[in-house]
Amino acid sequence: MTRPLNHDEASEALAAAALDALDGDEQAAVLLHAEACPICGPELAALRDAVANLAAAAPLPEGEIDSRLARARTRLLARVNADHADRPAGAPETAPGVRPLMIARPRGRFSLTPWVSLALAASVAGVAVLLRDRAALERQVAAARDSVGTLAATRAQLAERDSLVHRLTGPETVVVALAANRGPAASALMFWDRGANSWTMFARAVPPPPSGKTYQVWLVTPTAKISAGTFTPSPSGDAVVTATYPLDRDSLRAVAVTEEPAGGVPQPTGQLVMVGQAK
Amino acid sequence: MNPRHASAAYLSAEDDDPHLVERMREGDDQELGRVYDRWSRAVYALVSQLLRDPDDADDVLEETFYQAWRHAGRYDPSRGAVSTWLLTIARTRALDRIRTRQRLREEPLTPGHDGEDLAERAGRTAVADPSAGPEEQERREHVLAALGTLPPEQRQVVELAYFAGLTQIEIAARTGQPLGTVKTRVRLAGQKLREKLGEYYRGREAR
Ligand SMILES: [Zn+2]
Repeated sequence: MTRPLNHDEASEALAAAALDALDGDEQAAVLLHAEACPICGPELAALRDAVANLAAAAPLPEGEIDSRLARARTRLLARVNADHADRPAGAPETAPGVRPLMIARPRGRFSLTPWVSLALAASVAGVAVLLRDRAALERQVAAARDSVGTLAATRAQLAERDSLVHRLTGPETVVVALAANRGPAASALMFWDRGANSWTMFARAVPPPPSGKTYQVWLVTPTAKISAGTFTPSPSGDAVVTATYPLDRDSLRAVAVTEEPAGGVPQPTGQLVMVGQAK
Repeated sequence: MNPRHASAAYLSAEDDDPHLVERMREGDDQELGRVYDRWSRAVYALVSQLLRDPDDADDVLEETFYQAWRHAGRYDPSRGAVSTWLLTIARTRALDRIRTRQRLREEPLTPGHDGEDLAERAGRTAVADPSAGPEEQERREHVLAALGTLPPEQRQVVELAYFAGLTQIEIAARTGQPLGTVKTRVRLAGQKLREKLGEYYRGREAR
């Protein structure tokens, strides 16, 4: 890896960078600094604009230019016609590009009632949406490469999505499906990434808690019930709960959600709302 | 249909470029054809100058517009003119090709660029190119004039970097000058070009 450049070092090399006259590592280091620096970023852009004008000084080569240009035009349009179907830039955002990778897997691992299967499929679709968003974000990263500020934000978003996708689909991840204790209303999926000790739960169709109450998530082991946080669902009944908690690989017995006084409690006291057995 | 007629107007119609690219982004091949007709001569001149090989220049010309079509979504009008965007793609592709060629054939660095007076060559060719429109001529003359205001040693480093694709280290080796001297010349030349051509560029955009 190249050493990061400070402002003075980068500033000295901006003209060379605009001319692509630095060696690869140094070029990359200058561009990296300029992306983040409010002085060097605009300065480099202005130098690039000025340098791009130099192209106008390039003389046309001698010889029969028009026939060469016409032949290249024919090849270009033929090529574009040939892979019209494969064009990424114009693809609609909602293209069904991602297969629901996990849809077959949980069937054998959990004994699911049909409605839980449906909830699971819906959540799998959620994962597919995340993966699709990642492709969209990658395009944004490419488009925003020159744009100071947005880039850092987009990168952070992308890293966040990457880490979420990894938490949900990694080889170390265990999935627990929670079903409503009474009636088939609410459901949830808890993803436990045992490598990262991270817990991510997606809940759906959860009714609003009674006034003064909240929902609390519990990791149930043979010896303890550990709080993984409280949540209040959105008006549409969705919620995402994340927690970090190290747990022995084999000690999880179940994940449960109870109704508790607002603010949460150290040990469960209230009504059981949802529960799912860990395998 | 006279292709010379289509290309002669390319600079005067520059205002329409962002719309053409917008429609190209939506997959309109006809717009790609129009963008090509408008800018292929400028792109071809640049890549020919860099590559010094007609067949390589043909390939990079086609590749440039193909990439532009595929990645039309990445063009951001607020970041600069369509011509700047296309010429940047073209130059990057040509530099890739030069560096691959050097690796594959281990040939000496682009012979033929030493001691060449670009201004003189450009002037001669411009006369020999009757299809160049008046604004194209004006722009070329302005850029050549800006290059002409640089001291010869600064003009040389700019030409070796921009038109021959050499890095500062390669320029030092080629000219026998210390690397520090080359760096200073590049920096000073960059400042001057920014003053001369930056204003010109902004002036054109404001019109
Ligand atoms: Zn800086």
